[in-house]
Amino acid sequence: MKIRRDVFQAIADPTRRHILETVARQPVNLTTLADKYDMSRQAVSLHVKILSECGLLQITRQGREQWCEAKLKELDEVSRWVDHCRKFWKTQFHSLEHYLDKVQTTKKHKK
Amino acid sequence: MSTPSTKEAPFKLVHVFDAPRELVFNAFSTAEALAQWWGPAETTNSVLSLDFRPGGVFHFKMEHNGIINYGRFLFGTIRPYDVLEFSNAFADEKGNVIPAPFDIPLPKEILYRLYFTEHAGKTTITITGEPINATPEEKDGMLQISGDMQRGFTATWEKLEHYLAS
Repeated sequence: MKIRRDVFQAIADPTRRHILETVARQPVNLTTLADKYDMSRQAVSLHVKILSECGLLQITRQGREQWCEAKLKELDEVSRWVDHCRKFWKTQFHSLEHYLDKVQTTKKHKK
Repeated sequence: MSTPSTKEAPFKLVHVFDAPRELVFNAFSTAEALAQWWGPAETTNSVLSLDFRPGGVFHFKMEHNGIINYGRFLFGTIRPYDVLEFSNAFADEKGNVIPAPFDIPLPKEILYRLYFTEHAGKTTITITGEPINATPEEKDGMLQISGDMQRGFTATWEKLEHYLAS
């Protein structure tokens, strides 16, 4: 089954978030990157592959080495989602506040 | 369970309510309460079903100008009156998860964690949100988030903010 890749899937995994953070600082080769993690090189490669398929990371080959570079522009989508989330929850909490006020006022009247 | 590590999730919001913790927590726990406050402000919202327990579902309807959308929570950890965990997604009329019916890119499903603390009669909710992975094996991995890995994310967001500001 072909799994649809998107930036949200890319950042849903904590290891991938960490990889992204590492390569965002400076481009790093795959071997150095893999050494940082307490998991197999294959597992790290898979995370890198997913990040690359989601467009958040670019892999370039230099001789025998593979270099990973972050493509931060693609994270705009994530920051837009975070903004959307914030607006949504601010509205929800505002509405919850109203409800709590109402419930507490009713309680006081009953007393 | 370890101490909640909240600052690393992509989305985080803190809000203080002028009400005791039990009351605030319970606003999420009954259909009667949710019907009075939950749902987007621009839509008319109604509760279709609520099964408030781990693995249970809250199914709701949102109506606006004749357009009907459905939403769904799937509850995870429920620890009165400290922690509430659920995933949120758009759904069909039967409660099956569907992609967001908008043009803007959104995660299909979001995992929210709410932490409730009380001080001097006021309750603070700290909410975090992160997208949920598509594959089951990755889902398992995500639910056991390691603090070290998570810490790295803060730096990513600082980087991103820096990038967006430049």
